[in-house]
Formats: sequence, structure tokens, C-alpha cells
Amino acid sequence: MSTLLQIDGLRTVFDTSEGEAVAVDGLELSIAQGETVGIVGESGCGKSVTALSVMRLIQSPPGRIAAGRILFEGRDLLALNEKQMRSVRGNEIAMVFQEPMTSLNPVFPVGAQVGEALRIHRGLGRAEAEREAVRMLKLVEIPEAAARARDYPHQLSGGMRQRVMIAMALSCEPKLLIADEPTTALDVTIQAQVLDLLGALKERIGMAVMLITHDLGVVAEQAERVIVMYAGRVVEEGPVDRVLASPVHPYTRGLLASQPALGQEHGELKTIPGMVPRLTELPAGCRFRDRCDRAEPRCSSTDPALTDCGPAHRAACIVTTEEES
Amino acid sequence: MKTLRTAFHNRLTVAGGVVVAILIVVAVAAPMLAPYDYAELDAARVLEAPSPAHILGTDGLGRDVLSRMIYGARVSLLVGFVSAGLASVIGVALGAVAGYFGGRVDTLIMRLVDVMLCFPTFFLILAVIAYLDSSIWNIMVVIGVTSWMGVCRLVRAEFLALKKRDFMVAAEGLGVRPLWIILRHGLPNAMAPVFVAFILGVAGAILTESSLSFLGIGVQPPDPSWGNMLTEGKATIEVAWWLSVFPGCAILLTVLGYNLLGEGLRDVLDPRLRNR
Repeated sequence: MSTLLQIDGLRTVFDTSEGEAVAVDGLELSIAQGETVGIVGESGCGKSVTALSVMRLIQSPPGRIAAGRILFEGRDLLALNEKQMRSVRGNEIAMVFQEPMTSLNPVFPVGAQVGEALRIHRGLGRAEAEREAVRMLKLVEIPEAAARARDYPHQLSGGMRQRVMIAMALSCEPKLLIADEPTTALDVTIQAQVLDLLGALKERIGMAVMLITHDLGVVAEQAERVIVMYAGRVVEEGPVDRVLASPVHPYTRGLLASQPALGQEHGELKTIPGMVPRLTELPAGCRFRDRCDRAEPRCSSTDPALTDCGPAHRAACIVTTEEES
Repeated sequence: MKTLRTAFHNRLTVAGGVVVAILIVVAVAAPMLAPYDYAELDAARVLEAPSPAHILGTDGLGRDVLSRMIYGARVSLLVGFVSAGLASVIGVALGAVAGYFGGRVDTLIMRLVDVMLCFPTFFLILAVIAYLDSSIWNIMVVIGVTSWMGVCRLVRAEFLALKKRDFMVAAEGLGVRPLWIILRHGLPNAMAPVFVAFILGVAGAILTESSLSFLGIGVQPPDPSWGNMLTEGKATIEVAWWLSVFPGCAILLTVLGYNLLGEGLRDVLDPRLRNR
């Protein structure tokens, strides 16, 4: 499989009153064509900022992409001008946002909104776009699609709205779909439906998916590869089954340990002590060491690099990767 | 519908609405409602007090005051709507651009607003009209061009908030052009305060036009406007009170009507002020 998206040394910062907050710091990441990659991590670890950086939707000011390359099919997206970038957004790379309740414009029927990308990128007329929008709404399994297309967002439930969002994102058959916590705002049964739908559509269109979530269960089901982020960096990456079965980085282990399992109702739920460090004052050396149960004195001086610890499996911890090899 | 029902709950808003509605009907149907031609002279019936033949009396040239006032309503309506409309268009355009793009564009536009607000607007208008013809169209343009700042600030504030809304970012994520995002996704969500500002702007424009006409640089006789009728009446106020009182009341009622309607709609459209 050839590489679709290749991020090299991405550094996205936000200027705050307390100094520069480094949200993404030297991120390396690649996604192959048709591949689903899960990106997991706590809130504030840089997942969404990574997604917005790829779309070049970082609000500036205060945010800016300070360094790095984002190669999409070999083209550096950061070198494109605004007009060229607009022809990529919604067309070759599309995004599904976290909040289906607020991501649709309240004053237009959903059909018109689904058709909007088609009118922009495919040059369809109003009527044609509307017809195509109904077809898309059918594709995302919205019952009575033609009637629903004339509904306004407030008339639809959360799950329906998220389907509409997916229909919007997929309308131009993008090569890469970025789904930023697409199911966080939905209840559990609807979550499963939406995820299954996403998986089926991915097969059908043959697109790659960057699935951002903090739910490891979602990753296990949907993704082929998983990338664990912590404080703006990749701390572990590898095939899903491998990473989830034998995690190497203490942070990944902590994440897995803090997942509740069905039928295991006794005992307290494990947590990782402490919080993500403040992005304006990141510690030298390993950024996880203050919360890590395996921390050693050398962790505060050495910046851990991603090290091979199995087939296609890499982790950034100097202590545990030594044990693995 | 709920909005309308809420609006009807407030009697003052309804009163304002009724006044405005009556004025619009009078202005539109002026030729049918006016008992006489507004410019028709009658040397035999000069300065006649209100009587069944001339309900509001006659002026110094024997013209029917009621007919002149009815045609004067046309001037008020035209000036009010065109001026406030022009001010709204300028204010919305600049405010949307400033709020959406931010940065230097925003700074530039907001400083322009500050500068415009520093001018004593009325004297600016006087100066401009002194150079140009004092035609009604010039007056409307000048009033419009000097009264857009309030709308501009309102719309900028709306866009500053809108810009952060998810659907605006989502539209950008679909590759929608900024201009299109502003027009299609932003504006429809920012129109409520603009609508209120427009109604209040109509009242302000009517008042400005009356003042200009009163000073003799607005609508020129024999064309009637409530302002120039007041001027004509002021020389004879001791013998013919009706020449000043009726146009004065008309201005008062009109401005009051638009203001009540505007304020009432603001309460209805702004949920924070509801149920007070």
C-alpha cells in the first residue's frame, strides 16, 4: 500500500499570555491509502490539533503551524495557497466533527448542506446537488431521505445529525476522512451504528480514515493501526492487535488498565495519576515521567525517541523498550 | 409564530407597530387619502383654522395642511427606509468582514468606525449638503453614509461569536469560500440584531431629515415634508398654532412608533432580555 498522508516533524503552537503553548511537537505520522488509523490519547494531548493542522483550519491568531511538512499524495499541504487548499478541503480530505448538535447550520435544511460540497467541488447545480444529497442521505441509512433532506437540523436527533455530517463529508468521495471523536456525543447504541456505517462506507469508497478518539474499544474494532499521543508527541504506534495486547509504553499500559471491562465489576477502576503537563512549560526529557510508575533518574535527561519493539511496532520509552528487545 | 405571539404580549410594541403600519398605508395611499392637491393655492382661505372643509386648517398660502402632511409622510417613509437601508448594508458588509477576518482588516474597519463616530454627524451632513444639491436623494445618501457605525459594531460582534461556532468551521472544512461562508452561513444567523438596528435607524433618519428640512436645507418647498412645514409654521405660530402643532406631533408620533417597535422586537429577538 502506498502512503497517502505523511506528516513530518509537525509543530503547531498557540501564542498565549503565558507564552507559547506547544500543542503538537515534532509529530511523525503516516497513513496508507485505504487504511484506518486510530489516534488515541487524553484530552489536550494534541489529537484534534493534529487533525485541524492537516485541514489547515488552525485559528490564526493565536495558533500557527511553526514547522514540519504535511505531505498528501506527495504534495506539501503547508505550501499550498488558500485557494488550492480550499479545493483539497471537503474534496480530497474531509472531516467529521465531534459535535453533531452544533456542526450543522441551524437556518438551512440539511439536504442543502449536504449538497454544498458537491456544488463547490463538482460544480453541480442546485437541483442536481439536492438529488445527489438525497442519494447520500440514503447511503448513510437515513430513512425517508427525500423528506429528511428538507428538514432543519433541530428536527433531527443527534444520531441522525451525525449521519448527515458523515454524508456531507463523504459527498465528494474524499481519499482521506478525518473523524474527530465522531461518536463521543452520541449514546452507546447509536455509537455502534454510526461506527459500523463508517466502516462500511470506508470499504465502499476505499478511503483512508484518521479516527480520533479516546475510546480504545472503538479503536480495537475499527482501526488497523493505532497511534498513541501524549503531550503533542507520538509515544507508541503499531498494529492494533499488537499494541492493545502487549503495549510497551507505560502510558499506553496505563490507558488500557483504566478501561473498564465487562464482567469485571469488582474493585476500583485504575487511573493514571496526575494530569497532562501544561503545554507552556513542558519538562525536559520524557514528558510522561512525572506520572510514570517506571520512571528512572535518566528519564529526566534523555528525550526518548521512537524505538522499534516488534514488527511495525514502535514506542518512545527508554526503560520499557530495553526490556522488550 | 411564537416570536409573533411574544411580540403581541407587549402593548407598547403593538402600539408602535400600529403607528408604523398606519404611516406606511398613509404614505402609499397618499393620492387617494389627501382631500386636496398638496401644492394647490387658495388665496381666499389663507391661515384658516381647522374646519370641516380643511380638517387641519390651511397654511400661509392657503394650502390644505392635512394634504401636505399626508404627502409629508411619503418623504419620511422614503428617507427613513432608504437611509436606514443604506446604513444597514454598509454596516453589515463592513461589520461582517471585520468580525470574520479579524486581524488587521478588523483593526482598520473599527478605527474607521471610531473616526466616523468622532465626527459631529449633523454638521458633517450640513457641510456636505451645502456643497451638493439639497435633493432628497443626496440627503438620504448622506444620512446613510454617516449612520452605519452602530450596525457595523453589532454585526462585527455577532461574527466574532459566529466564527467560533462549529458549523462555520465545518463549512470551512468543506472548502467553502470565505465570502460564501459570510453570506450564506454567517449572515442569516446574524440578522436579528440588524433588523432591530434597522428599525431604530429609520426613526433616527426621519428625525435627521426633519431637522435638515426645518433648517431649510432638506426637502425644498413646495414639496412638503414635516420639517419644512414646521419652518413655515414657526413665523405664524402666534396666530396659527395648527401649522406647527400637527407636523410636530406627526414627527413625535412617528419616531416614537419606530422606537417602540424596534425596542419591542429587540426584547423578542434577544432571549436574554425575555421574561423580564
